[in-house]
Amino acid sequence: MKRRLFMAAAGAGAAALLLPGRVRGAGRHDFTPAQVAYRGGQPAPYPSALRSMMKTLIIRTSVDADIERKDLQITSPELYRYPFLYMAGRSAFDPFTDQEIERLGSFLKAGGTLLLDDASGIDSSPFDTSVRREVRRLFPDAALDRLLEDHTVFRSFYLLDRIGGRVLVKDAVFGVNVGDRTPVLYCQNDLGGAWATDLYDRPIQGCEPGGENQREMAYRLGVNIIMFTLCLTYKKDRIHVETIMQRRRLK
Amino acid sequence: MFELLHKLGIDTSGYNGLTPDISMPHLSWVVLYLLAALLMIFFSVRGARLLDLRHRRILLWVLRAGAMLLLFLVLINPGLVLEQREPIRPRAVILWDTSRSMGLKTDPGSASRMQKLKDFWRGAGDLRDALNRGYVVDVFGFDTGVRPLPKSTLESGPENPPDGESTDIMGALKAAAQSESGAPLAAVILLSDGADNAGLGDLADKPEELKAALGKYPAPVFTVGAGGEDLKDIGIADLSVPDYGFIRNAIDVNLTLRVRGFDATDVSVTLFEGDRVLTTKSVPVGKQAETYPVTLSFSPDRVGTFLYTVRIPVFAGESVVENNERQFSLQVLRDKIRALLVVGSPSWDERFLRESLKKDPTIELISFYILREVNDAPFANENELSLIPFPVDELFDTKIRTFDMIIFQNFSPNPYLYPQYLQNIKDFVMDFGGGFMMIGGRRSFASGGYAGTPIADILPIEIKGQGGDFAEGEYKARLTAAGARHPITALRAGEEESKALWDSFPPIEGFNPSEGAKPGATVLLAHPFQSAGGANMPVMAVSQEGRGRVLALATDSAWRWNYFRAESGGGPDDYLRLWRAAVRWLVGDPEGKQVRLRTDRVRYGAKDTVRIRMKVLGKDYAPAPQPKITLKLSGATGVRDLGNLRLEGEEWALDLDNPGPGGWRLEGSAESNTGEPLGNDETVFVVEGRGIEYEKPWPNVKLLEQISKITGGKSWDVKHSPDAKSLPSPKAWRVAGRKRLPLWDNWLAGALILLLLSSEWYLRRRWGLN
Repeated sequence: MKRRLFMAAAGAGAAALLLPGRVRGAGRHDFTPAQVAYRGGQPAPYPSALRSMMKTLIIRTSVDADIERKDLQITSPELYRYPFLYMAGRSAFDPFTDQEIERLGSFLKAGGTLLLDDASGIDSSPFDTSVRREVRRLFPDAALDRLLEDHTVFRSFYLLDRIGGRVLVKDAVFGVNVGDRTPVLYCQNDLGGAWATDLYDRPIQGCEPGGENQREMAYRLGVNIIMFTLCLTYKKDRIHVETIMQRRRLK
Repeated sequence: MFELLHKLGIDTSGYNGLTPDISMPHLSWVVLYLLAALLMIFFSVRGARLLDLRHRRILLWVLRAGAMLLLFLVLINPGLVLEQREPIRPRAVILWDTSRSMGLKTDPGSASRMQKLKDFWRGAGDLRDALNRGYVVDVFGFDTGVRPLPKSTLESGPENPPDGESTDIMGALKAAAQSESGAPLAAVILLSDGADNAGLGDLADKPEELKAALGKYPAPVFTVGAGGEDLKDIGIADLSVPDYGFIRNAIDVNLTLRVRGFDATDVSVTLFEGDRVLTTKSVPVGKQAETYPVTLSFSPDRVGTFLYTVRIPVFAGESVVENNERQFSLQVLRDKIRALLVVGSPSWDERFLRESLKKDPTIELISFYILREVNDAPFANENELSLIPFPVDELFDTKIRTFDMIIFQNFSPNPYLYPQYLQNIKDFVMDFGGGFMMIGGRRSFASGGYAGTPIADILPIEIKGQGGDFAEGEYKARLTAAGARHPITALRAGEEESKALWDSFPPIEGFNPSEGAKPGATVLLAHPFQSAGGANMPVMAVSQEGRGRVLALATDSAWRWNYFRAESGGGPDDYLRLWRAAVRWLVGDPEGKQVRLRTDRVRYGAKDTVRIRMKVLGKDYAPAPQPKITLKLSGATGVRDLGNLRLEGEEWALDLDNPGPGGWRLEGSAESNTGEPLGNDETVFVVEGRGIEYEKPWPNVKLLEQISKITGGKSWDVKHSPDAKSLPSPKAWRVAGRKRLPLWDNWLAGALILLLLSSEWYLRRRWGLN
């Protein structure tokens, strides 16, 4: 058995070298996020953040992601073409209209995901207040809760026990759980600030207090959030559980 | 007594019997009278205590009590009944065991048990004469029930071969005790091998329990036992299997080996499905015990109803070989559909498919996603990742047949799978009957490097070449005419309704081009403008490949049929229905069949009628009008056509006369009234020809001896003529007429009562009492 596995691995490696490289960044893609363009506040505190995160996703995983940034209004007819929405900000923003709430609510209930990112770097910021207000309107019967450590988002690719970001406002990710899904995720640590890069792919913001290790954790959380969005509870399938438990003990 | 009556002037002519009689009134009258009498006596005693002289007191009491007693006699009206008695013959009942075991030979080459008893009976002329002279003789045959046999049986025994399915001696004795003629039962003659299997058989060594079971039997039972103690046999008895089991779950077949007359030996017990050995077990047996419980376990690997055979070898000198084999049928069900989903890259298509399959409680989904490819760099050590090795050897070699179906979604076998694994998948479909589905994307079909592989052989679409020919751009998949009727894509009841629904679906994006559908494949969805070989290229196509089924979906954006519809208020139901139907069709779910054949049971007795029902559906899954049905029955006696099915509601029905013992296979097929094949189906059933009679066929002469002993009869040896004088003397009569003589219903009784009461009254007055 071992010999066969070894041969398989060797064969796989050899075949991989012969394969043409995957074409990434051009044409149609399996994962195409969009950034929510809302009214009031600052809808894109770090314009390069999402592109940087998608590059990271492509380098590290098998996901075929689109690195082109797409800004989208809730009312856009293209909304459903972008099932993953990223919404970041530093300050308070205008309440969504009832029509926007209804449209965004339907979008999320049908399978869409919204990642909220507070770039202000402070707890209970005006952005945080606006976010919690709108989430209550979207899900009047569900709360924006702290995700427990056994949530799949913390094991969907990396095994995470720390939350990264440009700053460490909260060592937690919040979310609205609906069955096996978490259609709304919220981080207050300014993930976009940690992801953002310049034209030469150099970080434009320092991460405090943890430095580059904290930035790495922000990338890992980004990867895990996208993997969880695409694979749902795959990592809670029985076959994974034992391995994950063992590795958590070794860490 | 008759002289006395004559002297009293009573006419007794014509009567020869006399019995006393009283006509007791209703109990309430008796109680009422007794209370009144006690009261009267009480008052008499109370009044008489004023008298000084004791003898006077006693005299008054006696007079009062005497009057009360005489009044009681009037009340119960005693009398004598004169009877005209005529002598009659008592009944003798002859019980012949007609169960199947009576046809067995005690020793190889000897006469059957029935023949031995008939020889005995023919040689028992004195006994027959004595019965004919002194008794009314009833002859019954018994096995499961009791039935009268023709009078000719009295001379030579039963004519028909014994074929009863069980032996119930107690039931036969009870039936013998019941008489319609009124003649009392004087004797029962029981001719049997004693192999009772209705409860009495186990009581041969328990005389007290046997006595209790027989109760106070009204006549002596004379028994004649066939069969010796030297029988040699190893047989299968008490076979116990569930009516149904689940695929890949162990099923226990419990049975008992009954061994008699053999020294220590090993018995090989083997379970077959057809000619295929499923399991075998060696059981050491000997003279230390008579029964040996055996459990054979096996795990069925296919869904359906199958015939199984348990068999042991025939040993030299065995008296009974018919119990060395038993057949049974078993319906194998699917508890859950085990689907293996292999995904080349996380995507929205994968995400919505997974969600759909996970929502179906009848599907057990085992998923493997390639989250990191060879060139990807996660910048973390192994322990910081949740990734697990892809157990290809286990999934595609050792455990492949634990799945019902395999789904490759945008998954390329390079660099993960050996060519041998691809061959295993082909074998899984062709030989094992598994389902296989390939869903499109850049890693699928020709783009995934499948051309020229064993997988390409089983795909319903033709793929050639290598490399990136994945086409982008939006289009609307068109439902074909076949697709409008097929259980996967016919999402509405009618063809037009299904077509309208598919027309309303949003466009999809991304397409795996092909060289077109293979001959024999069915295209369900077609590309609106991409064509090959003069036909639009398939977007979804299906085919039957060997025993299995394959589906090809040449796009990676079927998720839009779910998610994009939500924008216009559409729910996920049609998308869920599509996948559920696809999964069920791929695993050959019976509900996807247009021809469905069934019998009302899976096991039948030797005399049961087999009720066959066949559902024949058209392409629209509505009952097909006037289909041409072919129905064949095959089994031990060969193959024969069954015809003349009648329509019962929405099903075609046939009540088949019992075809005889053994396992039987029914194969049905149907064509539409325009000659188009609608499908076929098959099922099996077992007729228990031998049943319990051959499970424990050993004679039980001891039981017969005990019955004779308990009831006061005799046990006659089958090898010798019976002693007719053993029969009880026939003493019985019947009453042809009767006359009642009342003893107390006359004037003398009234005068006597009056005399006693008036005497008491006179004396009381005279002695100064009121």
